[in-house]
Amino acid sequence: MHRPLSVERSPAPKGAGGPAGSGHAALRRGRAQMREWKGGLFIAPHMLVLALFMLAPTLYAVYQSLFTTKLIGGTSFSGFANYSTVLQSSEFWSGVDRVLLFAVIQVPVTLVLAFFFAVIFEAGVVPFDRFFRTLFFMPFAVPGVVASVMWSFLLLPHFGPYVKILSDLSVKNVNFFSSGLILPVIVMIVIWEWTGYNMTVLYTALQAFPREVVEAAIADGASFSRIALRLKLPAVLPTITMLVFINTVGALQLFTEPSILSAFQPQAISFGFTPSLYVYNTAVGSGEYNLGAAAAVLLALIIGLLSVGALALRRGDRRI
Amino acid sequence: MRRFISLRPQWLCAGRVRHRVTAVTLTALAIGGVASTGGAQAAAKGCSANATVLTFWGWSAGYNLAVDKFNATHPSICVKLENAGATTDEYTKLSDALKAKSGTPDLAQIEYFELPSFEITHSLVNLAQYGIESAKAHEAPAAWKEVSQGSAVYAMPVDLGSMALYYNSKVFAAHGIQVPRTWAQFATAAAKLHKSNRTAAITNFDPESTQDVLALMEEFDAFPFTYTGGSTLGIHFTGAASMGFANYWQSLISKKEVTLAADFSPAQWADFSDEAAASRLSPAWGPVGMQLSIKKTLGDWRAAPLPQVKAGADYAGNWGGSTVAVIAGTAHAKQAEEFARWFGGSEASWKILSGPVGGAFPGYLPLLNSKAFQDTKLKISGNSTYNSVFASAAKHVVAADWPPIMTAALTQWTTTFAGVVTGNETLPQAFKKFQAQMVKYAQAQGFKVTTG
Repeated sequence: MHRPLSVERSPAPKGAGGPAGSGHAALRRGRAQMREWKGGLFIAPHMLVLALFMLAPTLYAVYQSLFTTKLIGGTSFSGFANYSTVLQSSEFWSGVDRVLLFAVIQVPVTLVLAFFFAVIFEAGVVPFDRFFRTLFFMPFAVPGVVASVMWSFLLLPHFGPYVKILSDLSVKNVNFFSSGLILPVIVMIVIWEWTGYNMTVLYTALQAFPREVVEAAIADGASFSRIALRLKLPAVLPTITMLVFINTVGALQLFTEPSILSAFQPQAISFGFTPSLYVYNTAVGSGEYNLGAAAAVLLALIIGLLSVGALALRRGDRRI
Repeated sequence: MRRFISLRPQWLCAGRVRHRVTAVTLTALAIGGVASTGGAQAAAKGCSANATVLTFWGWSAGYNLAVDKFNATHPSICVKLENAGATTDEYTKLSDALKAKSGTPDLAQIEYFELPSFEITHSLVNLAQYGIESAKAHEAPAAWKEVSQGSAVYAMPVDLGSMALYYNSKVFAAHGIQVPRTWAQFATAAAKLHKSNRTAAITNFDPESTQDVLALMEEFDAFPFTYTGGSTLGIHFTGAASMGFANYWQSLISKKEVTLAADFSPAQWADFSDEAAASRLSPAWGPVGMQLSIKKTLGDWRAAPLPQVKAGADYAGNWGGSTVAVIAGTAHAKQAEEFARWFGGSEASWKILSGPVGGAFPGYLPLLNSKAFQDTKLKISGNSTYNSVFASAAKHVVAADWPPIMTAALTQWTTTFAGVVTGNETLPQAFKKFQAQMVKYAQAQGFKVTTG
């Protein structure tokens, strides 16, 4: 979980091909090759699935994106024309802006909440902490589709209980699906879904933190919050960096929640509300599969660039 | 389309579930699984071993019962009904299967508006060669026109959604409003009603409902597309007739003489129920669902022909209805045509389709003309024979020239027209924007576009 991106490989034996009749070296090399071969067998199923369901479709999307299929005139090679159409589409970029804004709010709030709860649960200061940990984790077990349907019911104008409660508190005519509130609503739903998951990861990371250090700090008179922020937080920083990365990628691919909400209130979610929705509505909704493919490739590139940036940042962190 | 929709739970606002992934999930979960298994089992049960097997994609309620009846009475053919999702979900699957040249059904339920999109890709079998013409005399003229292209016939019409002015007679009487015969009178009535009661509106107008607006434009003699097959497509949202339509409704919107609730939303039903909206420009399949959705004013609603642009004319709009088409690549086109003709044009089939489960409104003239059908009563309309008005309208529907780009039009419409409801743009502005979008899309698809 901590290092999902680096595949541990057995290091290549050093000194192989050294001076003077290295029979041992040859043997070592043979063993190492054997080990690598066996290791390869272990990761083969993963690689096969990755190739079938990730690489092949991606390459196919890239291929598709270079063609244009017209109802009149059929399919022809069009080079980067689809890319330039997407790049010039204000609808696409407004979606990109929206998910960036979404990520900037959702990711920090989720992680702050997750860290807070992970710390108090791990410190054992909450009674019935097992029960509450399970309770906090439960939204993650609810599929995004179901969660969105549920929240839509709860927030629907004229129908949902929250609108009624607000109305009883004399906050009248709140429309959670209005253009101003729809994004905060989705932020809230996603935070609700993902805080428990992030909390569990951080909780696990915190358990690796040595008890003696905490005891020593307490003996030295450090406060609870000081221990949490000065000792524990730096210790789990690599985990947090990784979670920021995962959460951000997820946020940029935002699709399920807005697409479900749009079934309840179509006017709340525009054609290109998020880049993923733009891809879907272009390809499936308007039958422009090639254009959709180009948009998907561009979205992947944007996420890829951000990921590379994040990784570079992480490497920098480690050197400190 | 979606005649069945008003019978679904209102929260779904299902008239508006269009083309999003949700429709796939929700429908597949809620209806798909159940209906498809039910259909398949029933088909297998009633079939003989050496019967020709036909696969039929359809989603409407009651279709499985009609299919069972067909299988029981036609031992040499075995139709298997499968639910591949409703409307655009099905079309997406169908065009994907056609592209892959694998997994296409022999028959599919297709709404009138979507037929040209499949005709242009040569995906439908011309049924004229199998004798479908024999059914023509029994179908509403507009329905037949919409399944035909020149001498070719690409589908068998099934149901329709002819429109009428469905009004609250008590509200009209209380304010001394005569049933308007023309749209000019309708506007006058709207002003009169709103003047005497500031919270009352003559009707509800949902700018975001593509099919509702297009049906009204059709009746207004302002249908914004012209298409007769081939590579030339007319798009006329900025033409004089369309702009006349847009200005007419914008005027009522600006003066708050119409409400703007989403079709089938709880808000819209509340407006009808609370006398905030005094009439509904309703499709023929509307009253049944409306009766289940409003609490008050039951028994007060009467039907009258839609107001006309020119006094004395007798045009009707149409919102909804489906056809059954035979899909290219089938090895059994002859048998498929036989089923389609029976399904949309036989007394035995219509007895089931128009029954309590199906509730479809026919394009089938013998039923439209029958006294029993016209005398149908509903609690919401008291003792009035409201159905006779819809039945008569069905025979006066103006056939629409559906463009072969309806899927894209439906997908892009909501976003463009959302601002009309919030007041950020006017209806004519939305029309201009949509015109540009559609022209751009059609040209990108290789069409020669005519405008004006």
